[in-house]
Amino acid sequence: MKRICFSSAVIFVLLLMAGCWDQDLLRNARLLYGGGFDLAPDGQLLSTFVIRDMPTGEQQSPKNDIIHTVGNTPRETRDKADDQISRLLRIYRNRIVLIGEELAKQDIYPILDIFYRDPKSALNARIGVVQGLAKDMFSLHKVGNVLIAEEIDELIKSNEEATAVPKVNIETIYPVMMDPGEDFVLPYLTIKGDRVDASRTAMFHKHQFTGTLSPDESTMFLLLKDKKGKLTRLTKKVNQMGQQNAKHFVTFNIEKSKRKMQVLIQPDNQITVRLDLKLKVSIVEYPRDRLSDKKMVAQLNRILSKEMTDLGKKTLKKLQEARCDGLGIGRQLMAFHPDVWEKQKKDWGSNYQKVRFVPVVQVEITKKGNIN
Amino acid sequence: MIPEKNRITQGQLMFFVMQSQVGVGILSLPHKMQAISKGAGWISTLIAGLAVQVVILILWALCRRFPSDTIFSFLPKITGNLLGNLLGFAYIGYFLFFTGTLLSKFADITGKWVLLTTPRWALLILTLLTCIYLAKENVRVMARMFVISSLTIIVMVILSLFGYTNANFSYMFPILEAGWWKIIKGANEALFPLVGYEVLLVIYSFGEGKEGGKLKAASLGNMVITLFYAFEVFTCLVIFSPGVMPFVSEPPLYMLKGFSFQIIQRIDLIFFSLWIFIVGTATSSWLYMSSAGFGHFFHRGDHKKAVLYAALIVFILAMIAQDPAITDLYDRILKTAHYTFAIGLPLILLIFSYFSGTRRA
Repeated sequence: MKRICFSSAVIFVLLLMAGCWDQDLLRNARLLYGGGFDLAPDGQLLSTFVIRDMPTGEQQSPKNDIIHTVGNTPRETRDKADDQISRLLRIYRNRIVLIGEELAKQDIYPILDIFYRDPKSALNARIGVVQGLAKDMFSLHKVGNVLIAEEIDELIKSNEEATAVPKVNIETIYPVMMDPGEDFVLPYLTIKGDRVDASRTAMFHKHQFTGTLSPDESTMFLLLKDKKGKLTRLTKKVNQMGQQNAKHFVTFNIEKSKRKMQVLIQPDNQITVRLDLKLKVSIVEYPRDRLSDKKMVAQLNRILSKEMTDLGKKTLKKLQEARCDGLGIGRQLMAFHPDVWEKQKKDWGSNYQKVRFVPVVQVEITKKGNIN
Repeated sequence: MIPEKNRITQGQLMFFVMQSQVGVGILSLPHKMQAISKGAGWISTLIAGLAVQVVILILWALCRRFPSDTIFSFLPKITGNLLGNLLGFAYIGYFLFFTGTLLSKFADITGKWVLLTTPRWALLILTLLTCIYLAKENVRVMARMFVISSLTIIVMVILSLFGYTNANFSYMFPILEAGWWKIIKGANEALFPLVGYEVLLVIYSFGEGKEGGKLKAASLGNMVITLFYAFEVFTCLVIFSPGVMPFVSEPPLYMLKGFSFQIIQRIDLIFFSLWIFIVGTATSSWLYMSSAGFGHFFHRGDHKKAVLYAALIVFILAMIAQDPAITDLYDRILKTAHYTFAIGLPLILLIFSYFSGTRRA
């Protein structure tokens, strides 16, 4: 009897105590799916918030609500946006953060601080730099039938797999950003008509945007960094014979990529970086055919090796011009040649430009598809 | 004598030591280690584990002289009634103080990471209620619980493995950058998260079997925990660059924050929940130690009645430590207390009892 009384009392009390301080109901939240930051003309921050609204009816499709606010800090603009919408703005479903080119040329850390500090923020959101204004890119609203924030997120995701843009998110760039011996890179997005193109890479030095890599260079950079995605496809010009343009080119998939990086210190403190890249490729398009001929294949190997080595050289030169130590040469010095780093670290940005890179790319054709 | 239903096997003894050792320290350890011994943080942790092993030897040598006594009943036998009982109370004070600090740190981290608006008293009461429920049971029941809860350590290790997708091993080099002196200093700092082996003083006599076997069990428990800690420190050292580490005070959680699966978006919260479980078992163990002391002095060896007011004292201690200044003070007191009660006093007692030949079979 005593037991029953006790249990019913407990159940009664528990019923009254339902709920908690930290409850945050989904029906009271407006979910942010994408955020953009630009430099406003007066030097303030112009933020764009893409909020996804789930319609109540089952027939309707979700819609975007886009808000622009101006303020001094990201948090301030977010609070201003919250003032303009019903219910509460919540950022834990955020998929993508875009930064306008002009703003990225300044220090981007102040923009990201809020993401790192807030325990509820989505650190796995992707991040990219936009040519022009991030506001304009979100203003596309929809690409085809896909809402803009999802489209950009999915686009970057698929391009990461195709080794077109670096695979980064807000969390993974944090340790790199804070490390003096390495610089991070981000996907660089451009607006093409009413579509978004994500095939280039934005280079950073310290926390500032300093230049871009073209689509081919971007892929080359990822190969040099040993970050090959699932698929890597390139098209290169291999000869001048014949009239038809398409016959001059070969398209190949890189099946396997093996990179060896050696940082060598010469007696006169010249830093030389040897980059050996061994690529096993399969031909996916070559209208001139005749690939059964061993001589032909050897010749193609030679031409492609040279083309790729040139591309590597071009990529590394651009990296050095942008002072972007994307391969982490400084990190290697720090870890394995601390005495050299001690001397170089004060002005690593310009010392990095004096580093001599020796890229050697060897291409070997191993597969050629169903026909010869 | 210890009643039969209270005895625990050597395996259970091992888990008892393990669960008392793993506490709040695990989350902040990598951050602290990196600050002192840089890339050699994991070496410091291993050295600290070795040092703890030596302390365990001392505690074992002391306890084996009194195979059927807890610390509270063998103290008077070595030092005489008055001093012995006073020391017994001092030990109770130390146990309570440690539990209070442990819980206050737990409340700090929980309040910072997950339950941002939940008041501190609610967090403390909810945790303490659960711990009281466990701590009022006899040693055997607690030991069984600890065996089960040790599975969480395996899951925590598996979750940490996800971090390796972002690993960059060059962050760790040059390993000996800080120099051996700093590494030893780091080891000294790593002693505190490993605190908990003192539980031997109380539960040693509950263990079954030969003396050597019990030493093995305790050492094995310590080894598992040391390796677990060293693994976590190592993982964090290769994931966070030296530049970012000073900004991240709970690296094991932070490194998992950005991962998500199809169904689970925030893995760090899973890790966090397991950690809460582990903190709960450590708290119960410590709460048991202090209430065993109260039980010895006031309730003829029955600790059940003492658990409630011991928990109340712990609650008050944890409520006081809200201010960072007070938390720092707590830390300083605890460091001294740890050297005194876990290392210094047992050593003196051992020497003393060795020469005076006190022993009771």
